Amino acid sequence: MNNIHAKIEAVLFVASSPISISKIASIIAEEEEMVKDAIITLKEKYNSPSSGIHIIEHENGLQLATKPEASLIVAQLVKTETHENLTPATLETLSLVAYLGPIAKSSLEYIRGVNSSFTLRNLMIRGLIERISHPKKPNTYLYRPTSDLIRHLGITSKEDLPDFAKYQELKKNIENE
Amino acid sequence: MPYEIEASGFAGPLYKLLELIEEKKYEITEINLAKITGDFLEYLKVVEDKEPRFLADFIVVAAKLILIKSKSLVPDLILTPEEEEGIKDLQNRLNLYKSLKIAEENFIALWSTNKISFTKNPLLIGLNPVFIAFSEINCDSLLASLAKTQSSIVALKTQYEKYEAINFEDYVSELITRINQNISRFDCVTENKNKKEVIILFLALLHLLKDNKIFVDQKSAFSEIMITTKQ
Repeated sequence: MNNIHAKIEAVLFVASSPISISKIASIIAEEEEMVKDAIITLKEKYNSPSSGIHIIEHENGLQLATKPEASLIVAQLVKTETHENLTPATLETLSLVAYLGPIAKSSLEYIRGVNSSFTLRNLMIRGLIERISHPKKPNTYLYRPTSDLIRHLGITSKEDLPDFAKYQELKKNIENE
Repeated sequence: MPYEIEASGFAGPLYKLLELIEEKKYEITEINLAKITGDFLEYLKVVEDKEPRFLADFIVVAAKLILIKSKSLVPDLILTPEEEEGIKDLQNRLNLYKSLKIAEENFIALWSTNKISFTKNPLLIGLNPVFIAFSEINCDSLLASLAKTQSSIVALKTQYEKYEAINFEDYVSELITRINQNISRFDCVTENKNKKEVIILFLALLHLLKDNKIFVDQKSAFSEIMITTKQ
């Protein structure tokens, strides 16, 4: 098999959990740039109505998943995954992390005006958000959405959230505070 | 559109503030914040009742509102630059919260359509669980290990039993009784007491001082502590 698209497709299919571009490149022995280009073509291919799957890209991880339009059909097969009811506080925190993440707890609490430790822990336990070390301040954590959350929203990356760019602008104001 | 979500303990201070402002179709301005101060203070009772753990967050905002209200009632009131800054900050945060509410609504709309993308169960490539029997695991080693754990628990238990509990209140009342018998020197109280009791009596002294029940006076370092009751 010589076609790079076919190789990537095969790797994504088997990996099923998020896999990085560099990992794919090393497995199929190709340049990362080539892999990136091939993924753009693959995404276009899956974009057609005749495809039941698409590629989710989140924090450098790529993953094959079924399209949101197929959720009702697939749900008949996979009965385990359904939305739990989230409280308004949890939903508010989750939406802020989705739009503004990676974001520090202090910024979240500045926006919400209320202590958010409990809610953040709760969301982490459910696998909807995850925390990473702050790249500049090692003693603080940043919270960001997980690829499972992206998958649960039926979007292919967090940039697909409505008006995502607009809220990224807002985020700059908060971080200047 | 007044909607109250009390049962979940959700309404954070900014949420509540925005709700009060929007109920009256107000703009976010200092004058309007002054107008809703009363309603917000009223709500503190609900918070104290239902979600006391959030009370501190509410009081921080309430304090700023009271400042805004005072400013509107007393036109000559001159605020410090920090206080002015605090008022501006509250307005900015409220505006920020308001714009992010729209993002939240977008998010909830996506979330509630329940259009999940499914994936296959990931294969644990090359990570099949295996059983490796270490040679050092046998009945004797397990028993020995258990015995060791047991002995360390016993050791820990005896260590704890050495400490007897003391009743601090007994010492406080002893001190009060002695003071009421007109004993005013601390060394008279601590006569014939061991070191531990002296320490506890001193703590009791500090306790009474904190509660404003007594006066104490010490002329210089290490000199006698004189106690007088407050009448």
